[in-house]
Amino acid sequence: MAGFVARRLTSALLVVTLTSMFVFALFFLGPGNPAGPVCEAQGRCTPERLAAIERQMGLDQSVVTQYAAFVRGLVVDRTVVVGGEHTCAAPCLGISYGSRQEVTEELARRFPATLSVAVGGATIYLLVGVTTGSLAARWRGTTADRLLVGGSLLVSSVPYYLLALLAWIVLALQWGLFPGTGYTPLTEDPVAWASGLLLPWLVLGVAGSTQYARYTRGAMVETLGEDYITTARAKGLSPRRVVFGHGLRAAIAPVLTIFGLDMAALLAGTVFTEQIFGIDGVGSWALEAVRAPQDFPVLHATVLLGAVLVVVANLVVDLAYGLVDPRVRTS
Amino acid sequence: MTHDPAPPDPLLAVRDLRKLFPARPTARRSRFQGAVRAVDGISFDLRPGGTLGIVGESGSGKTTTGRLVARLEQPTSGSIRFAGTEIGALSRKEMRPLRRQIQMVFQDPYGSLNPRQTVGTALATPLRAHALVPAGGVGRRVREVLELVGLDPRHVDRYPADLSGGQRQRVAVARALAVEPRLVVADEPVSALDVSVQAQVVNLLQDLRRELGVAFLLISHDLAVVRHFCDDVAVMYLGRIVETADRDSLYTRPLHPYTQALMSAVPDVRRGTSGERLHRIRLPGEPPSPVSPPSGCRFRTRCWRAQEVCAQVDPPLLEITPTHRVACHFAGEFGAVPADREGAPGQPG
Amino acid sequence: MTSAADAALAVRDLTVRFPTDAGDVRAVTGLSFTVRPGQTLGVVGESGSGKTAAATALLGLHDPRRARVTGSVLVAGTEVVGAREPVLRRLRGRSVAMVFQDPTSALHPFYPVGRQVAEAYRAHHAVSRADAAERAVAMLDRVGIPAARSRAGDHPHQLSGGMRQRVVIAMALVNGPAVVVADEPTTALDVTVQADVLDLLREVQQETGTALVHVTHDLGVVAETADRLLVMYAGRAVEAGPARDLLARPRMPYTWGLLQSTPDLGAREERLRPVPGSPPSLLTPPDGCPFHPRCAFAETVPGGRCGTDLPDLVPVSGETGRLRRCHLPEDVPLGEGQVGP
Repeated sequence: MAGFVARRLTSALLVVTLTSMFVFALFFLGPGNPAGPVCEAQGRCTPERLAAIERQMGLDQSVVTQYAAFVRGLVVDRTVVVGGEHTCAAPCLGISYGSRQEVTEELARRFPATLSVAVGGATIYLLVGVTTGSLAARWRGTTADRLLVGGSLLVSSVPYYLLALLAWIVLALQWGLFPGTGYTPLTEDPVAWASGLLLPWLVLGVAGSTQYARYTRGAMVETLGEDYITTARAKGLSPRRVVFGHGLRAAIAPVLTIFGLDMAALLAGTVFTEQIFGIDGVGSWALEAVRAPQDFPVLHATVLLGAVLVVVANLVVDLAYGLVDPRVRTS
Repeated sequence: MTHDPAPPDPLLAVRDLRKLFPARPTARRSRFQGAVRAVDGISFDLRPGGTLGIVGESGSGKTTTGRLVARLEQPTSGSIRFAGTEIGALSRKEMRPLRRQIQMVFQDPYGSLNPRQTVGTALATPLRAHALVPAGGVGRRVREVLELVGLDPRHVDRYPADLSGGQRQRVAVARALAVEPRLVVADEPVSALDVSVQAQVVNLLQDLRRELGVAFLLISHDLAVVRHFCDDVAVMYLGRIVETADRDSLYTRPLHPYTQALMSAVPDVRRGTSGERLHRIRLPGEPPSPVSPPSGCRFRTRCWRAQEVCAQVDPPLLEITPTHRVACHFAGEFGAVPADREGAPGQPG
Repeated sequence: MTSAADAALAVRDLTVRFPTDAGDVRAVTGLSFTVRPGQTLGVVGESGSGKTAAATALLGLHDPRRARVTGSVLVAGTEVVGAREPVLRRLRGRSVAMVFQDPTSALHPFYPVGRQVAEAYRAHHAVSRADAAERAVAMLDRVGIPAARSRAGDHPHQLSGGMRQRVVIAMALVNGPAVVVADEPTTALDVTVQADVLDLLREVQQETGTALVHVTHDLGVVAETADRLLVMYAGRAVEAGPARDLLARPRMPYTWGLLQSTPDLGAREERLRPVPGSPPSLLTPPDGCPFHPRCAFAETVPGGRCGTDLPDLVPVSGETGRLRRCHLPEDVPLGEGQVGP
């Protein structure tokens, strides 16, 4: 088991490193010059001044040297020049070109909001999706099943940002439900935290639940056709125990796998959600950073965070799979 | 290497054949921990037009043996000579010209026939691939082989789903025979069929063998089916041949304790109705793991005759009569003479 | 013959149909039999004979949305056909239990085997988890699982096929049911293991007095274990009687043909005698006797009745407990190659 985790952690580290290099390289090959805005902010920007600023920021050095500086900054403090000198404490992900703040610090400040949105939304869509999927499978072929399947298709055919926007406009603005939507740290006021995030959670949860309902239904329909389900019925177990005790236990494994693979989609959903509901999280920060002039250190940090989350989620899913399916543990 | 002087050159000569599969790595034991010794040093001959049945229970290595001979698997070591050519080490590409001559029939014809292909297409494809008949003659040849296996030639346009289990297995046999092979490896060819239909297919294989002179290697768990079809029988246990003999000798006088136990366990209508239930030999315990087979004789952990010697010395296949060999330390009691070393190389005489 | 009153299982006119777009699949038609406590009935048939559909109906396991079941199945006096789910639930596992063909797929892969046996007990007894687990261990020990206490914590994949089937049998017997329905219980097992499992079934049956319905395609298997046999073809009973008697002197051409085509280890002639053709479609069964298209004797019956009239299942004169469904006169011998002494 320890060996398995170690191997997975090694490959996870590799994935994150390669992602980071890729983003770094992409930025330096792409258009836009981070020295430009700094130069313009100080009045008329002559080519000579631009070159001087580039030199100060270290942009004239090779990509490899700059990347090495970045990596070194992860373990030792360094000084970064963006319009002026900034000390950047390790682990240093750079200084934001826009806010001139340490990226690490701001990331730490914004991350709890994003985590709150994502975890809450994912919990809802897993619970709702798995439950409706199981029920649809149990009632397969009935009107209830068709309604559940049809409803889920309908919801999932609406683009997510449209759904979120409509929810915001209609539920929050027009009907005045969900007042105080926004982020309050959990540690400050748990009630405000929950009530403020309720609408984003619901929107994210409902949108995500439709596909999980379909995955679960498919897995359950297959499982309910297995011989051991007939065995369970032949033992005299109640239909509820048969479906949820025996069926769901087996059907949940593939759904878990999809959950891990789907982590990226959850993060994308969170980005939109934060933007629409005005939550000051990592997602909205990343969206700002993409706008010209691009804020590369922020962009780099958020992409890295995304990679880490996806990798960690898959590791957790693999370990959870071992808990669910004993054959993985001991075969 | 000198050959047996008496019989003509065998079509198939297998010597000391081994196949090891890596034991499956698991989460807990990620490192390679050893090997499943699926086939562990077996030797046998099959003459042209002959029929050899390989009998065994699950885990005996009988299926792997068949797949090795058909070269669907690469042997770990040992020799497979087919019609004088060593095929054990041939690459995929080198094997290609020989593929036609060794055909395979599987247990489940539904799984081995493409459901989207008509019977005609399934039969014509190998004919075209091996360019056996001129392009214009393919249709005629397809109808010919269908008749050969007792199917109406009008079946060419049918799909496997339209056929019964017996008919599908006939198509699978037709496909194997269409390319005029010299050896057919049939792995449980009738096990999935109903008894009344199974007999049809066994008889069909018998007829075809006589008419076409094709040699058969029949892999089966069913002692009764093997008795009805094969001239010679080899009994496998845990990757080894423990007894091999001509049919009559094996079925009337099984010598290896395992063969005896196996035969005593076969349910039989005749015995059931007459009440003369044969004394059944119960084997204690479970078959050992093929990853770490017992020392000495592999059957000793379940054998009622086992003595100390069985744990120490791996018994060689000893000749009892020219057609009957047994790997048992007590074979001497049956009048064994030491086997010639050529027949079973790699084992201490 | 047994009366329905003292029978553990009494089946009357059981019919199972599966409606499809192309019409009804008539899996079982008008099946009747009784099994006394301690008795073994072998139900013999090939694929498509309806034997599994019949076995499934004995526990009321058919999905009412997909199958139409009529007739009567009395298990220890309680009607199964048309019973509501709560009634069935109390019956299943407690009065009538099932042993399935493939123990690998019949056990839940994710739960320890002891827990699966205990669960069957808890479904019908208000006992604590610990007591049920204790009972499960005792049962696993009873069916011959060595070191039952520690094996109870194993998952199915950690056991061999034979051990798994013992677990399934333990699960079926844990509530001491009046009837056990075993559907091809040894077909998926190796020969030596099959013999052990058959011995076990016989043993526990003698001990508990359970009635056993042993469904199989293999005449050899029931020849040594069943008291009575019922041969099914195309969804109908075509012959029934005491096992030895029926196998020694089959009185219906299908049974005879089946025996002729069964390969055996004895010193019979080399060539098998198959039944020509293949089993009929249950969607459009042939008129008359369902076996007549494959029957070697159909043409000898005057008036071509085999192709038009369905024969009744009637007693064979002068033989106790024998029934057959055939137009052929009783004195016509079925062939020189009879099986048995």
